[in-house]
Amino acid sequence: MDFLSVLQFAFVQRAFLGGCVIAVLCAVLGLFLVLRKMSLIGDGLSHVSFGAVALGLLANMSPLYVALPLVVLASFVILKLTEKGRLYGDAAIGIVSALGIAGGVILASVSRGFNVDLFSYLFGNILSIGNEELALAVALSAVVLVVVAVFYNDLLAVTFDEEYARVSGIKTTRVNMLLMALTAVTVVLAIRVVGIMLISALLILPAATALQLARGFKGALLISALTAVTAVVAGICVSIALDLPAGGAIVAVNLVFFLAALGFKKAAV
Amino acid sequence: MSAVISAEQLSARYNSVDVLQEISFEASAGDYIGVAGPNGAGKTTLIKALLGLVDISGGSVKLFGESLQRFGQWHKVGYLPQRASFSLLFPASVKEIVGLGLLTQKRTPKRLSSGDAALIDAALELLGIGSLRKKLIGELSGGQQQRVLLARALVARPEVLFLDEPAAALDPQIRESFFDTIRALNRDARVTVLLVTHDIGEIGQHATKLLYVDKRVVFYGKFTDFCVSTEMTDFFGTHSQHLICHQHR
Repeated sequence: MDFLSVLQFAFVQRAFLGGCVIAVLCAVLGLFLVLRKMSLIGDGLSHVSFGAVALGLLANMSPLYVALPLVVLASFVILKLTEKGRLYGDAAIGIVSALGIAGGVILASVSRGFNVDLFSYLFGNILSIGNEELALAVALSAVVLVVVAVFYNDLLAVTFDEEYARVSGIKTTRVNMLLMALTAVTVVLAIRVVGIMLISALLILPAATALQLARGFKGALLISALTAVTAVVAGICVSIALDLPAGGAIVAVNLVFFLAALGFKKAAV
Repeated sequence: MSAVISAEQLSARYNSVDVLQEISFEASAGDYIGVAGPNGAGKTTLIKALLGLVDISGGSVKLFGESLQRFGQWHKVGYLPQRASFSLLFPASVKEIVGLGLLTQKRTPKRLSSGDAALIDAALELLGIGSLRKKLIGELSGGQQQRVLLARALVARPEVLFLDEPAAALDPQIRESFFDTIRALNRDARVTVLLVTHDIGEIGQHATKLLYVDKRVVFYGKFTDFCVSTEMTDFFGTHSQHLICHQHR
């Protein structure tokens, strides 16, 4: 079977569409997170989603529907621990992240039956994304992108200088909660694309690539999104052509783009 | 007419240590107040408390006659922090950064118009950095960054300016033109200025009033009164007081 005929399969088309939509989300939110030195929040929330997915499997419910509210809640806990608990963000992320992993391991041990399913969530399999999941991903992605567009300047102001944003009358606590909630939704959606173990790469690498090349914030968002979409498309193609795991291939292509951007910048200086 | 800034018995604690103790003072429209004091006197905390950026342990603050908790006219307020906490990797142009100063006037979704672009250009030209508008903030020197942040504070044409050690990163030549700009805004547009400095002699050349704090208010009044105050002679010593007052013109 040649490569082009593979592209005609519905599951491959779903993978391209779902992957691209989620890649744009990760790229856009990742830029705000990287600039706020909160890159590892993707890692922390993905560990929480590990516990949540385990809970969903144990309860025989759709893991994504269980993970969505729990991961959003965990993102607020991280925020509150940082704001009120006199902790740096990385420590707060570490605490919540450990709780998620511990919960997942305990539930997996208790159940003894779903370890194979859980493994598929750990490393993702975008080629197995179903119609319902795709519809959910597209709908939630549209909501997240509209919210980002509406609050673009608030997010930019808080990301650049939170203190000044407060003096500008921006409700920074609300904006921070909004960013956390959007990130949590994005992390849950991205589980299918690259898996729990590699989500933070999807949030960080396109943003890091854009930071090497951009000459303005909107330009950085655009470069980040384009890089992420190209990496997903190329990653899935590589995965099909070489029979490799799609998640790993997507992250590898993202890494190549980042190294190329880094090299380009060094050469330009 | 109500005061632009009014602090009453304002106190703040940090780690169980008093940082501000019952500070009371008022600033009227057109005042140019230099806020001075020794290191650790609470100057920056005072500015932040007046803007609601730190929790206070007692007392109250009013801006334009409205309590800080209910204050919503942030477009009347300009603020230049002592140290902005932005990342030097931030991929925003000077124009984008200065535009953030206009968000106070906008409703969600806060979009900037072509009229806003003209205001941004005017603020940049006022501070002599019009040529930097397309540069990234991380590409600028410390002094240039400071002027960009001042442009952000000025772009919405505020009625009161809170400036925390604004000239610290500026070289002497720029420093002079910076103070001239602030003086002109105060004189011509009656912008109220509250300027924190550790250099009481320098601020004496520009401000009309002095608020000297050392966790509490040590002196608040006109520079001319400061110069004849025997209490201040006792506090500073004759030599220091004379030195400060000699620079005040």
